[in-house]
Amino acid sequence: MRAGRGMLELFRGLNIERIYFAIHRLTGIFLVLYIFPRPYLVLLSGSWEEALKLDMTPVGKILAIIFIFSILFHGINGLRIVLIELGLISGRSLRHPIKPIPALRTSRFHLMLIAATVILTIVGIVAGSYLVLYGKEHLLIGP
Amino acid sequence: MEILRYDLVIVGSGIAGLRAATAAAWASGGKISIAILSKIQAMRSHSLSAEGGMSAVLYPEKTNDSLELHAYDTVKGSDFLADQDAVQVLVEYAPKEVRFLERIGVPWTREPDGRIAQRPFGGMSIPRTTFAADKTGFFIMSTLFSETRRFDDIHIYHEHFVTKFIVENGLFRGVTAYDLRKGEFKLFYAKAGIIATGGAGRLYRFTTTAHSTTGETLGYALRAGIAIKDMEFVQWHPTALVPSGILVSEAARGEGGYLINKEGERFMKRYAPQKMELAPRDIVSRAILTECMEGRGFQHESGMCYVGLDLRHLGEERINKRIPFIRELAHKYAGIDALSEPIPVRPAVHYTMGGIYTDTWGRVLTADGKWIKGLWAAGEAAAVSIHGANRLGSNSLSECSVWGRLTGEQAAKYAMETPALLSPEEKLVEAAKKEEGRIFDTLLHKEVNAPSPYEVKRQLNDILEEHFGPFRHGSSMAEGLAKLMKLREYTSFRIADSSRVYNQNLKDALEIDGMIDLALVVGLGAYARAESRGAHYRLDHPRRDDVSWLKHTVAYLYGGEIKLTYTPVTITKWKPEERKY
Amino acid sequence: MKSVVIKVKRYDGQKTWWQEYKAEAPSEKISVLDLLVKVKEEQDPTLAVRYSCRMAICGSCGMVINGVPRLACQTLLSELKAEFITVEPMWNHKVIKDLVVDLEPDFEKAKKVKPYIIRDVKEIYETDKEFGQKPEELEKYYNFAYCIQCGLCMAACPILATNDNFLGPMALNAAYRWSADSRDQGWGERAKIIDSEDGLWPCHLAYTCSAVCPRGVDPGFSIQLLKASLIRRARRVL
Repeated sequence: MRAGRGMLELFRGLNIERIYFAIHRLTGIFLVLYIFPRPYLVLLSGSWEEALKLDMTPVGKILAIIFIFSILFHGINGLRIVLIELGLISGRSLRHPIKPIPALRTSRFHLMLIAATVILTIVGIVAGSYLVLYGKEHLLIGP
Repeated sequence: MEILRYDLVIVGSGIAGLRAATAAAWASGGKISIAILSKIQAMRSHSLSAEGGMSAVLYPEKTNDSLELHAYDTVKGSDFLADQDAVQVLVEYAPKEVRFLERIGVPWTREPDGRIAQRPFGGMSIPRTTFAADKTGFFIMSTLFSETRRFDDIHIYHEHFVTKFIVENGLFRGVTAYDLRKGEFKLFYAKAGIIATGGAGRLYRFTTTAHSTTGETLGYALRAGIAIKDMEFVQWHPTALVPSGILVSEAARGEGGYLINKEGERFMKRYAPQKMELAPRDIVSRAILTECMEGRGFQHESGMCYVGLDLRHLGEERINKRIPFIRELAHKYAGIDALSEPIPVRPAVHYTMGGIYTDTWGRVLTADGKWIKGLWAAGEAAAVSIHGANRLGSNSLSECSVWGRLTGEQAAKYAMETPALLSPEEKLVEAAKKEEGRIFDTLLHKEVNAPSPYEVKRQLNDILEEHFGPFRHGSSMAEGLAKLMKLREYTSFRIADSSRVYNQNLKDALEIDGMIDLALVVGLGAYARAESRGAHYRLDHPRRDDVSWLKHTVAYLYGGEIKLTYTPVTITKWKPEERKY
Repeated sequence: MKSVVIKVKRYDGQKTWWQEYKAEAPSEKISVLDLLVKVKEEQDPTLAVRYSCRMAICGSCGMVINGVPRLACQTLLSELKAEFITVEPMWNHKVIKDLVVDLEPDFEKAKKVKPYIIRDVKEIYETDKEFGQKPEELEKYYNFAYCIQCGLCMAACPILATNDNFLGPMALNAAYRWSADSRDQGWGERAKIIDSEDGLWPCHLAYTCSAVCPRGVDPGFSIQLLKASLIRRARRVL
């Protein structure tokens, strides 16, 4: 008998890195499901404009908002991970006192990037949702 | 029953056992097969919790130290009961061991110029204790365990509980063991064996040792005809946290901590005016308990009396760099911040100076001094007698490493010289099968009238704490012995768990069975010794008697009863003198 | 005296079930291990628990307490804020009995990365010299040498939940600790061992390993340093 729940053990969420990891996976799956069918959609509908009409339906708009969030988060977090794996942004961990959350023990630069991911994603979602819901004409930056 | 054949079987996987394995593997050039048996997972032995350090004379020119001085400190600390030729071996090999451990990767704390740092310790006249922050035992143990992974001929058997030593006609044949994980019984048929199972702190209740430090192997050794030496000398470590008993290392005092009583005075000046807190452990323990008995100690909610270990004047940086583990332990288990309050401490049982009777090189002897061919013992389980009546701090890690290496090399040489083992004879297999029957069929059924093993253990702890504590008295010990004899009459226990796989209930019962025998050895030896020496202090004989008692107690089993005999102490250089600090 | 209810997930080789025990805790400052040993000795001797040192240095008592992998001897009752205490065996491991799990696969993985000083072995065993090390070189790997091999990081790693062949944080941390030691010359060999699809790369920065480590070892960080060293083809580990 094996302890634990295997794949269903999604949120043993104990720290912010783990939460980012989970969201990175979920957004990755969503992006695959959203982007891969699009060329087929275009071919099936006949032209690019026909496919875009699908995007203007309420369901399409909601999916578009989720898509913007997904691609922003996945992209920015992905870049952050690349920088970590290259060893460019992690500092030496503190030894004493032992803080419970590992992300808090590294360099300030690393912490700033974690925060930056969240902020950029939120800004992007707000702008994107606004665009999706109200269209280009209402933007202050004129045509 | 599975029969396994090995050239060398090592029982116990602490620092002594692992060091013996690596020494044997190298000395034999990969030609012999080695098995390490441990009743818990091999890397979890109690050697991990050693905190203070390992003593060795590393840089004699720089510190004005010498091997002579180290030997003299050890002999004086042992209250002149140590065998001085063995002490010479210890001080000579210890620096080589420190350097060996450094080569295999132990992270000794360093001075800025790259030398290995050394700190002062109790009873040592010159700082010669090398350390790795305050987790020396942990680092040595985990490095040695990783080192055994280098050799493919070392096989490690986790969670195999050894139940019997098979010795025939003065020759070691093998051991039988109960495999907890699979619930099977195994016979390890071997040419040579090394016993390195550690001490017996859990005979008492308030102790710094782990739950697994029970010493039942010494009881089983008695039954195999092996003699036990000097078991009545039990060391109380002065500073253990109240109420859990977790060790607060002597390093805290080595770095400059003070011991204060209820009135805030450093009371050690009345007991050891020259060394103060760094006097040997028996003197400091008795000092603390005397302060408590005379009413100058604090009272804990659990009823225990304690004194304070004051580290406030050391400063945060020094504490974080040199003794961070102590700060962590005090914070976690006593809720005290070491920077602003004194830590509550009280003496607890820490080490047993006694053990299996061996000669200077670790060979196991019977009561009349004959070697049981093929069997050695090393570490706390053995009494080569370098610690005599009291051990100085940091000498034990040196002893484990030195005798681990010596016995490992000797055992490897012996195994290579004896002819190869064929299958074991009928008689041997019969004996092993009988043992299996005793364990699985006799002990393992639900005896409704027998006591639970945990009940018996509680009674055993009570008897030893009350009658054989740091302050002993003849009449009290006689009472204690009578109670122990009554306890010995239990031959079976009520075991509620009837499964075979991972039956901890059965394992606990087997442990307690051996512990009762060992407690009797402690009791009989203490009662017979009519003097006070080192850790054995009697209120009715408070002086040291070198005329009639400068000898080792040797206990052995004869006709079902424990008998005592005596052997003289080997004195080569230093005659006994008054022990004042 | 406080009355505590503790729920344990049991397994006897065939079936699993949850069993409730009621125990009296003498104070809030005792650990979950003390409570389990009390239950074992007084109420139910068939309960199987691993324990030894009771001071968080041996690593025997790893288990999942109230949904988080922890050491039982290090978890005081005052830290758990729930009414019930729920105890189950460590995740991602095969259960032998009750709370005892099989850690042999973890030990085998640690052995695979060669956790010892790789150098001319004759130099180690037959000479009597000191290799020497400066305090700065000690600081580089010191924190990672604190690993007590408790297996909690392996229990918390989400990758190990689905991929059994992944080396895991315990083994990879050992690989870093030995490669970063200034006395060692084995980075070349170890790099080849971990640079594989089941070696280092399945790690995707979940960092739960560092979050549950009872000794503050930060294995997640050591894995990222290993990755950086591999990507930059460094001759010595970063």
